[in-house]
Amino acid sequence: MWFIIEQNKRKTAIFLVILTLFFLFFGTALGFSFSSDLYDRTYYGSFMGFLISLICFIGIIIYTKFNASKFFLNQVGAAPIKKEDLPILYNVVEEMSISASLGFIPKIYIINSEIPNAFSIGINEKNAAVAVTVGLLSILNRDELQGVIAHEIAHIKNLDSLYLMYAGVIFGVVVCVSDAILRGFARSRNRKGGGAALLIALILALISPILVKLLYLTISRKREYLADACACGYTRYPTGLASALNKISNFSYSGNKNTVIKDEKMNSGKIVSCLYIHNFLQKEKSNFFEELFSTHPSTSKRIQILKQMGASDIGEYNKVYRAVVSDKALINDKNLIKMNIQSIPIIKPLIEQTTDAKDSRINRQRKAKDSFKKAMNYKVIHCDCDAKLKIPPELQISEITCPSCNKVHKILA
Amino acid sequence: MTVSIILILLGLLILIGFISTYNGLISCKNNVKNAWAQIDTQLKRRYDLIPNLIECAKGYMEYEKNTLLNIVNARSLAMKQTDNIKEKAEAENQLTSTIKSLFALSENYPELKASENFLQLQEELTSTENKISYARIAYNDAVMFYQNKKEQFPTNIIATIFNFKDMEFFEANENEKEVVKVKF
Repeated sequence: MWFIIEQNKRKTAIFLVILTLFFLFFGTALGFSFSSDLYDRTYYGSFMGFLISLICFIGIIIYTKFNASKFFLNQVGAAPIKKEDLPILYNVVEEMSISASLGFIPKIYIINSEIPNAFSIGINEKNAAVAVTVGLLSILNRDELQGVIAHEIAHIKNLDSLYLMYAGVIFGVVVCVSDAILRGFARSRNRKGGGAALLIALILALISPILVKLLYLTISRKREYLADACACGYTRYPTGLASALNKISNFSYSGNKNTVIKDEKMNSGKIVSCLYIHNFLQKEKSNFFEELFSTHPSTSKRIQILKQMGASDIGEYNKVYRAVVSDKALINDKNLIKMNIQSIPIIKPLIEQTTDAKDSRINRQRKAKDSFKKAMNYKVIHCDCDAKLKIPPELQISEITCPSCNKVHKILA
Repeated sequence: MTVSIILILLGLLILIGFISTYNGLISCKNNVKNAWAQIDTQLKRRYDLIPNLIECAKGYMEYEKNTLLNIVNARSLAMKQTDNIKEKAEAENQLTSTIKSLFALSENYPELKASENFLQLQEELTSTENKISYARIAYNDAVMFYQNKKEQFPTNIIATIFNFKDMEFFEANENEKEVVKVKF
C-alpha cells in the first residue's frame, strides 16, 4: 500500500503549501492594510506583516509537532492503559500494527464516556496513540473491535493526523487573519483611496476561509473512505468493521441523541470530532449542502460499501466505492493496475478468535471501566461483603462507609 | 576537452545509478529480513505459551492425552533449527492445527472453559496466531517486492553481479484460507 501513502504525502504537501501561501499572503495583506499610508512605497507594513506571519507559522508547526497529541488526549481526558489491564484491546492493537507493518505499537488510551467512539492521532513511535471509549469496548465484540482499531491504525499509517493537525491549526489561523483584515478594512474606511488591492484583499478575506474549509473537508471525507479500505486489507474481514459502524451509528440515533449532545466529553470533543471514527455531531440524513460541510462521509454509505465487498483488498473497495458513491474512483485505477495488487480473499474469523464472544455487555463495560479507573489511580478497597469500593484520587477523605453493608473502611494515604 | 567532460559526467551518472540501484536492493532485502524477524518473534512467543497451555489443560482433559501429546510433538518439531523456509512453514502449520483442535475439544469441558487462566491463555494464543498470520502476509509482500525488483532490468544485472539470492515465500496452510461468500 506504499503508493497510497506516497499519494497522500503528495496531496498533503500540496494542500499545506496552498495553506501556507494563503497564510503568508494574509499576513502581508494585513500588514498592508494596517500601514498608515497606503501609498508608502517602502511597503514597510507589508513586509512586517509577512515577517510576523512567517514567525507565527513556524511557531505553530513546531508546537503541533511536539504537543498536538498530548493536547488532544488531554482535551478528552484519556487515560493510558497497560497490557495487563485490557489484554484483548492491547492484543488487537498489536495485531493491527503488525498487519499494517507499522513498525511500532501506538500508545493505547481509554476515554471514560458511554458514547461508543474511537480516534487516533500521531504518526510516529513517539506521538502515535489510539484512544477508545468505555462505551465502544462495551458494545463491540473482538472482531468488531479489530475493524475499528484497523481503521484507526490506517489513519496513523496513512499519516492522516499529520494532515489534520497541521491543516486544522492553519485553517484556524486563516479564519483569524481574514477576520483581522476585515476589521483592518473597517478601520481604514475613513481614509481616502485604497484602490483595487484593498478590494481584492477584502474579497479574498471573505471567501478564502470557506474555500479552505471546503477543500479541507473534501479531503477529510476521502481519507475516511481510504482508512476503511485499508482497514479491510489489514483485518481481511470487512463485515467486522461494517457491523461495528452499524452498532456505533445505531447508538447515536436510537433515542440517545440528547445524551450524546449533553455529554461533556463530546462537547470538548467538538474540536476533535473530525478525528473520531464516527462524528456524532453530524446528521445521518443530510442534504447536499450539509454533506459538503461535514467531516465524515455518511456512515450508512460506508456500511453499504463494506457489506458489498466480495474480497478484502483495496481494489475491491475501489470497485464497490465507484458503484455506491460515485463514478470517480477513490484511488486512481492506474496506480492499482501498476501495483498489480492481488485479490485478497475475505477470511472469516474462526470461533476461537472471538475469545470474548460469550462475554456480556455489562461484563465488558465493567472491565473497561475498571481499567480506566486503575489508570487514573483510583484506590480500590475490597469489602467483606464482596463489594469493591473505588475511590477517585481527587476525593480527600480518610474514611468511607460501604454502601451495601455499612462497614466503615479507613483509607490509607 | 568537451568529449572528456561528457565522458566523465556519463561515467559519474552510471556510477550514481549503480550505487542507488544496489542500495535499493539492499533495503528491500532488509525489509524481508525485518519481516522475518517479526514472524520469528511471534513463533517464539507461541513456543513459550504452549507449555502453560498444556499445564492448564492437563488437569481437566484426562481423556485427551493424545491431543496434548500431539501438541508437544508438533512444538518440538517446529522448534528444530532449519534454514528451509518451506519445511519450517509446514511444521508451524501443523502446530497451528493441533492447537486449534485442542480449542475445539475444550468446548466439551465446561470447567476448563470457565477457568480464568485458560481464557487468558486462549486469548494470548489466538492473538499470537493472528499476529503470525498478519506477519506472514507482511513477509510475503516484502518477498514479492524484492523478487519483482530483482528480476527487473537493469536491477537484475546488479543482482547477478553481487549474487542476490532468491527469497522463499512463507506459505499458509491451504485449509486456513477459508473463503466466505457474502450474502447481500
